Amino acid sequence: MNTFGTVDAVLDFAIEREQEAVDFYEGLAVRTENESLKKTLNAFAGVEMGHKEKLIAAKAGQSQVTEGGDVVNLKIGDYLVDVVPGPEMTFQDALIVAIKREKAAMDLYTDLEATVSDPSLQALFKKLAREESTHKLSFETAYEKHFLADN
Amino acid sequence: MSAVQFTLNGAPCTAARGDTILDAAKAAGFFIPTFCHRDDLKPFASCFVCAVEVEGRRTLVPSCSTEVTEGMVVNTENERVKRARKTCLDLLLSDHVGDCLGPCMTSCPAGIDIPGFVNHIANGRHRDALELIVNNMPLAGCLGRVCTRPCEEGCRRQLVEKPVAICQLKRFPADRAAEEGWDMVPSQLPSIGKKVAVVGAGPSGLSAAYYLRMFGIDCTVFDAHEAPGGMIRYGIPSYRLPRSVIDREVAVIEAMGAEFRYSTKLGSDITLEQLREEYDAVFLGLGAQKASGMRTPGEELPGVRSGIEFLGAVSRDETLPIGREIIVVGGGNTAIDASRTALRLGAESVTILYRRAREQMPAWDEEIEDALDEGVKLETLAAPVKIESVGDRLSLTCIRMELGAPDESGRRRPVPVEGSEFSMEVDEIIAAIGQNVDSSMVSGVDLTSWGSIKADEVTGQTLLANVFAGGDCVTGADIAVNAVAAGRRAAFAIHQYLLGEPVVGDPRGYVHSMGALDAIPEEVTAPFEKTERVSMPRLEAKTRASGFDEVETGFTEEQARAEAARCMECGCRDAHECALRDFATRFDASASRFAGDKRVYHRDDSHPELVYEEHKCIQCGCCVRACDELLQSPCVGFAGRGFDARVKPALDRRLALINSNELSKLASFCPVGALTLKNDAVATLKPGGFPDEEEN
Repeated sequence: MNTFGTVDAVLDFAIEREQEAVDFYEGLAVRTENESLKKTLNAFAGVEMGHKEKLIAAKAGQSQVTEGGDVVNLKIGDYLVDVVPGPEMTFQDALIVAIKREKAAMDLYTDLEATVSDPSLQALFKKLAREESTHKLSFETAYEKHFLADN
Repeated sequence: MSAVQFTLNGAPCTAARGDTILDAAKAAGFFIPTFCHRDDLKPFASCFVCAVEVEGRRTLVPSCSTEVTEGMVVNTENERVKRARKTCLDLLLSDHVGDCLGPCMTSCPAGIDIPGFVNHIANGRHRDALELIVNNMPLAGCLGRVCTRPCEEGCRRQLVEKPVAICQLKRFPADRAAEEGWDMVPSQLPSIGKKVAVVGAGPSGLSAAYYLRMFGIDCTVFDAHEAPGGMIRYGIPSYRLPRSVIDREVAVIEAMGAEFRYSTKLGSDITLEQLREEYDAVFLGLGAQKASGMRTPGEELPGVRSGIEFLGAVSRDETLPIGREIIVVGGGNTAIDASRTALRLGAESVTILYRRAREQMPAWDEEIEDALDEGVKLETLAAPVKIESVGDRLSLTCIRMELGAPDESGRRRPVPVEGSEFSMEVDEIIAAIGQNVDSSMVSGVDLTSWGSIKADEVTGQTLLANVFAGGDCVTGADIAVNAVAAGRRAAFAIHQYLLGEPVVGDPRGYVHSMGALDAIPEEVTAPFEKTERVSMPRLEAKTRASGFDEVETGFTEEQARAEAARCMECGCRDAHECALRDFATRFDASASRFAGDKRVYHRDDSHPELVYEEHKCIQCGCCVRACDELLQSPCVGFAGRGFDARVKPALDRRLALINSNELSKLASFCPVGALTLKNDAVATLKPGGFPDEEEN
C-alpha cells in the first residue's frame, strides 16, 4: 500500500526521486574518464535538477505541475537492451540509461495513480507521469537524432 | 596651381586647389567608394556612397563634387560615414534584382564555379572545366560519382523541366583526364617552411592536404586504414566508385608532395599531443566511422554485423561467407550499398527493413530505385525488436510501426503498433542505422555532448589554437562534399595561422540572389525550350547485380556537351568585377534591411554584343553621361522621374534597334553588370568565348 496521504507527501517523494537522478548522473560523471561523456552526464544531472526545482516551486505554490495533452510515446526505450551504467559507457549507453530511467519514473507514477483513491492525488500522479513522459520523449528524440539517423 | 592645406582623417594633408575631396583622399591612399564618378565624366553626385564628413557641415557631402578648401577637416572613415555608406548600399540592394552567383554555385558546399565549368564543357574546354572544379574541390572524379548533388536542388533549369546533371558533368572532365593522362598537379606557392599533420585520408583530410600543399605547406597525412579515401573507399562499394578513381586523385596530392602514412591510428600509434609537438599545426579529419548499434537483444549473435563493417570488409577484399537470405536494417545510403553489395556477393534474397515509410528514407532516391531494380526487397514501417538463433540461422522478430505526429522537422514519427510483432528467419542481419564519431582517440580538444569535435564553423579551428578539424568528426555523419569543403576551409585558416595572420578562413564576398525557386519570375525561364536531361548510360539491372563493374558508365563527349548546353547561365557576368558586390562586401551591406517593391525583371539580349539587364541597374547614370559626353550618340537615357526613373535604350526600343556602332562601348561604363558584353572574359558563357584557342 502506498503511504501518500497528502499532495505535499507526493511532491516530496517526487522531489526525492529527482534528487536521486541528479546524484546518479553526477556520480557516473565522476567515474567516467571520457571528458565529453562527463559533460553529457553532468548535463543530464542539470536537467534533473531543473525537474526538481520545478517540483519544489510547485510545492511552494509558485507554479503548478503542468497539465496538458497526451505526450507522444515513441517507445524506443521499450525495445532497447538494458545497459549497466559504468565508467566504460558510451554516449549511446548514457542515453539508453536516461530513457529507461524516465520510463521507469513514468511507469511508477502511473502505477501509483492507480493505488490512491483521493482524486486530487490521482490528478497529481497523472501530471507527474505526464511530466516524466515529456522527459522521456526528449531523451528518445535525442536518441533518434543521434543513433537512429538512418532508421 | 597653389596648394591647399587641410586635415584628412586626423592627419595634415595637402591637395591641389580645385581638387575634389575624392581626388585628394585617393591621392593620400584612402579608399572612397563611388558608382557614379569617373575621371572621364563630369561629376554627377547621384549615388552618394562617396559621401564624407566635413567638420562644420551639418550633413555629409559628396566627395566626388566637393572641392577641398583651406583648413577643411575631412573624415572619410569614421562610423558616421560608414553607416551612411552602408545605408546607401542597403537601399541600392533593396530593389536590385539579380544573382551574383548561380544558385547551383551557392547551393554547393564547396562553392565550385558550376556555371563556369559546365559551360567550359559545353564549349569543349574540358581541361579548363576540370581546373575550375579542382580550384574548389580536388576530388572531381570521386564526387562526380557519389555526391548527393545539393547543387542540383538549386538549379533553376528544373523550372523548365529538370535540373542540369551537374554532378555527372563534374565527372566527365575527370574521366577525360584519366583517359588522356593529363598532368593535373597544380602549381604551388613556394614553401613557407611549416609542416602540418593531417589525420585522416578521407574527403576532408585529402582536401586539406591538397590546399595546404598549394599554399606551400608541407604535410603528412596519417590514416588508420591501409589505403586512402576513408568512407568513400570503405563505405561506398566499387560499383559506384571504382578504387582506381580514388587512387588517381590521391596520386595528384602525393605528386604535390604530401606524404601518406597508412595503418597509423591516432590514439594508439600516434597521439594528438605528439603531433602537436612535432608539427606546426594539426588537421583532424577523423570521420564518423563508428556504427550505431541497434541495441536489440541478440545483436551480438554470429551472423549480425554492421553495414560499415560489412562494406569495409568487402572493400578490403576479405572473403565473406554470405548467407542465402539477408536482412539489412536501415534506410540510408549505407543500407542500400550493403544490400546491393550482398546481392553481388551471391545472396539470393535481400530485404531492407526500415522503421519509417519509403518516402522518409534518407537514402538517395535513385539508389533506392537501383536497388529495387536489382531485386532488393523493401519492408517499411517495421523495426527489429529481438534476434534469436534458430539452428544455424537467425530469427528476427520485428514490430510494425505506424506514423504518428510530426517531429520538429515535419517528418512524421514512427510509433510501434502493440501486438503487431512478426518474425522472419534469415541467414544474416546487417545493421546500417547510423554512424557516429569515435572521439576516444583524441584528448585535449573540446567535444560536444555527442562526442563530435567542437570547431569553428568557418575556420575549423578548435580551442587548441594549432588544432583544426573538419568533416564528419565535427558535423557527425554527413555528405562527402561537406567534408571536402571543410578541409579546404581549414587549409585556408591553417595557412593564415601559420603566417601569423588573423585566422578568418576563406573570405566570402557578398552574394545577391533572386531568391528561392518559387520567387523566380517566369520571364527568367521563358526563353528556354524544354530539352530532355541527358541520362548517363548505365549497365542493365540484370547484368550489373552479378558483379562489381561500375554501374554508371559515363557520358560520351556528345552527351556531356549536350547536357552542359542546358545550363541557363544564372549568375552575373560581372560577379568578379561588380562594384556593388565589392562595396556590399566591404561595408557589410544587406538586401533585406529595407523591404519594399523590387525592380521588374527585364533582360534585353537582342543585340549581338551587348546585354542590358534593367533589373540590375542602379541609376548611376554613367552610361547615359558617356553617351552625351564621350560617344555623342544618344543610345540610352533616363526615362521617368525620382524613384521610378529608369535607364532605357533610346525611345524605349530593344537594343537591337539602336542604330549605333558605339553601343557596345557602354558595357565598360556600367559598374554593376547591368550592361555587359556577351563575350566578356568570364567562364560563364557558352557562345563566343575563347575563340582563338584550340579545344582540348
